[in-house]
Amino acid sequence: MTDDEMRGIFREMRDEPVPPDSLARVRESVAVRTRQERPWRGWAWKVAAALAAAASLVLVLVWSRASVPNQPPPAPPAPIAREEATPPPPPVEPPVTVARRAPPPPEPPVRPARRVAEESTAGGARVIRIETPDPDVVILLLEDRS
Amino acid sequence: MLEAALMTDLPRTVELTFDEIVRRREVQVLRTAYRILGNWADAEDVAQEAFVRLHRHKARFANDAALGGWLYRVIVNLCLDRRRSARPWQPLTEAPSARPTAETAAIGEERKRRLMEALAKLPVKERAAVVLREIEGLSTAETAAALGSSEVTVRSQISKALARLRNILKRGEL
Repeated sequence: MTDDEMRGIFREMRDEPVPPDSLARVRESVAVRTRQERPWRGWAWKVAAALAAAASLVLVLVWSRASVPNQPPPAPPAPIAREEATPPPPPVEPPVTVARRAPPPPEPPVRPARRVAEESTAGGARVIRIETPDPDVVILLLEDRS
Repeated sequence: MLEAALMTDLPRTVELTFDEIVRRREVQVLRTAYRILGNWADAEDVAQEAFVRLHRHKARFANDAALGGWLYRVIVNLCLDRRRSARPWQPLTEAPSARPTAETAAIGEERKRRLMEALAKLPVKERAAVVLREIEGLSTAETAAALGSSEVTVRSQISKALARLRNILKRGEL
């Protein structure tokens, strides 16, 4: 048999019919298998859609909560009596770090105002004693009567 | 890769329902699988699996040729997977629907039977190349795409296959 003869036979076989019962079995099997896959696929899509919706809801909630501090809070009108009943707490001063802050300068001792006292000596000379704020400094004035 | 290329980036789609595609392609798919595998039971399994894969892909094709190319590729792959567990070759003349037409009667059922049995003795890739190129009438490029090989390889496979067939028929091994 030559190549051309073989090719001629092959061409004749091209349109050969196939057994109808084989075709029927294939159709039936394909129909059964695709029907079996369809409900599962529908169920999977429903679950996926539900999960996506839930995730979207959670995202919206998280986003809305995160955006609340950025908005200025409205001032609620509170009754005065309630404000008096519950006074606001005193402002908390920030903690003082002693080590970093320089010690305050000592306040000068309160001294009495300059006091002038007159004394007399035994000889009759007049002495005026003036006290200054510095206890170590006393001014004495001696009257010269000569 | 060929399947992906055929199924994507295509400007126009084949507007057919899955059932319509099955009706149009069932004979081609079943016959091709039978030519490669040599028995109707395995061919039915392959045809069924090919259509189920088509259904799973929900594929849309640019045209009928793209769909046909995809189907041929799937058939060949399924047949190659089955070659280890394939049932014995079943002569075509035993097929219940092998009604001889006037032309096939003229050629002679005996010659056809001998040629098909010689075809069954070829390596499966050479057999697939002959089935797609010579029996199904695909071009060399289409055959290469379906087999996942180059056109040069296909030409070489067909040349070798025809030489082997000639030798088998000449030696009268059948």
